[in-house]
Amino acid sequence: MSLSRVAPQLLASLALTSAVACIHVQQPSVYEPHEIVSLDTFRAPLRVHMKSGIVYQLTQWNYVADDSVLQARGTLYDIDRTPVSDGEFRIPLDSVALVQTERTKQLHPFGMIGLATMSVIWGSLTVACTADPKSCFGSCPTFYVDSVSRDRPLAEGFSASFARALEATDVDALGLVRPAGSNVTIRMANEAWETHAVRSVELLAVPARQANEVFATAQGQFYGVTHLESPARCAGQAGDCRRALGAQDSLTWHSVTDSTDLAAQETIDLAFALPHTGARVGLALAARQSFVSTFVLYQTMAYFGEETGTWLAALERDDSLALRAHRQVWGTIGKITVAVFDSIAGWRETGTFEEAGPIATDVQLIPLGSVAGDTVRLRLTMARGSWRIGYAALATLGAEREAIRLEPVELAPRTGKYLITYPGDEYRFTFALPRGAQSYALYIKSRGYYYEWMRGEWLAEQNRRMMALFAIDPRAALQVLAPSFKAREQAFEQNFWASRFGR
Amino acid sequence: MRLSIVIALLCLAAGTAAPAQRLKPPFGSQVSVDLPKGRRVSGELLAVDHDSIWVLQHQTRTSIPLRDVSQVRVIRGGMGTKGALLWSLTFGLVSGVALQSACSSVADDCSDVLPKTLLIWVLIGAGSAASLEGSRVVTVPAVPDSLRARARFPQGLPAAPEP
Repeated sequence: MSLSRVAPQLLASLALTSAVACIHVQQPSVYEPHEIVSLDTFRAPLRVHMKSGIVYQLTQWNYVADDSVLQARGTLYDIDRTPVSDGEFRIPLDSVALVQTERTKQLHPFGMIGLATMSVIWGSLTVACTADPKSCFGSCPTFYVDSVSRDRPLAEGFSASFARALEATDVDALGLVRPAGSNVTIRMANEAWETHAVRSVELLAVPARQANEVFATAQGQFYGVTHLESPARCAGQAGDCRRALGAQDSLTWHSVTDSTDLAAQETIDLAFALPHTGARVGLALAARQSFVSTFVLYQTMAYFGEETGTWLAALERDDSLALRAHRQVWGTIGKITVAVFDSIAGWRETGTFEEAGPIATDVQLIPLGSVAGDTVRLRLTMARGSWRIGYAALATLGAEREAIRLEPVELAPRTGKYLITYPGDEYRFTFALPRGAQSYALYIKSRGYYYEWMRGEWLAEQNRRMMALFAIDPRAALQVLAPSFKAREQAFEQNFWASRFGR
Repeated sequence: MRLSIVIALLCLAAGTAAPAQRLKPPFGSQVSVDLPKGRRVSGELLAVDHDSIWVLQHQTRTSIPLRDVSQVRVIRGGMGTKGALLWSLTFGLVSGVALQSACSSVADDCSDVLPKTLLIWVLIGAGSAASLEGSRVVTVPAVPDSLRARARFPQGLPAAPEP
């Protein structure tokens, strides 16, 4: 959800809250008895103080000028302010000492607006998170560099590998690091109800003087980049996207899902000025998944219920039906296809961006080869609402760079081939950086798989019809899931990020 | 989400509008009278005349010469420090317990959700309290005309009051 989409709702809520958030203060005034005539239009409660100290608190009253009396309804209090009688009274004006009015004034102090605004926002968040905890507290294997940020995960490892059969290697960019000492420590956390089996964690370091000097491909090749060109044109279905994709900042491009089909496709057309004809170029793309993939995984497990183990075992046996279903679902929502326009062949697919997980943005280079002409036209194709894209640039490629592979110098003990981690576990891997460069572009290379834990409440959603649909026609299953995701789409990401307390 | 915002706003509107509808017994305002050397007398303002101010403090009527009074702080009603802190603590506790329970159903290591929610709400309450207290209390000069309307007996103390 982009800020521009949320801002009107937030502003409207804030304005409404400011209007209703108030305190009431009393503003009493006293008048001589003869001034009652001028108060005749004042229809609010009136206090009539008698010379003896007793007081009438009147809810309805009328001054009868001919008799010089107040005809009224209310309560009479003695001097201790204990009620003496209720009802109708005729009060001669000559026995009245003073009359008193009390207006209630509404004030909107900053403290009340702040308290009310926070109550509305926090209360809404609490209701949403309590109704749908999966949207607030779900997570994936995460890597942190504490010297950069203790709270913001910089990478997610092998998030698509939710079964042993899907074990994979994942290379994620950590950014440019200028180490204060000779070591850099990476913290790996298991922050969800998952069992992680980590086969290896390596740090890849490429000497670089500045950010964006080196980019990595998904296959683990590293290229020096001599020039980065921002898009001259960026057109999605929602309009111009140059602002979101033009810089590596917090602004991202995002669209909403199709309400009838989670597999419905959309495209972004990009055009870049080519610095020199025939230059060897690549597309530098920074993106992360939205919560569609998380939702589909969780909901698939819920539909399979007690049969989830059987389904995962089928994947591990390379069962053709299970593998086909997996390929169809993740092949649809789990990748961005990049095509380059060729005046002869038309749109030609040149590569894909594949990075699982909604938490950390990854930057990848998709090599395009040598391109002639003065403009490069690219088309990104993806499932609607499944991706957030933060940056796209045409990179003029220099020489391929060699990454220095670093094994941890300190590693937690493990048994067998895998380091098995459970919810709440944290491991710190310390790597010794080679001398010789002041700064490095760092990449974490992790290999492994994980198992999502079945939640008790998901078992209630077991649905044999949906199980069969996932196995036989996964694309149709994505259509059935679409309305259910659509109903919570807006709140999903908002809740997730707003409630990452201890992370 | 949108529905919960609407519900929360309606509750808020109802909660803040309610005090305006109630008719309270006609007591005097609660005041705090500042005297020389940092002394202070607090209680219900009973009456004011040209040279004295009477305050009912713990069922005892206290007469204070107006010349000794530097200023009078009058409580006008509405939420103050106590209310803001009570609201914050209650809200923080309820939402913290709900969020911790929701977190525990899907994730591990949720032990800090409740303490952090409470901490955030204590800070919100403390920040709001100062502003609310400033609106709730008004400082009035120690002159009869300014204070009379807020006294239990604006006409002056009756001959034999039995407070």
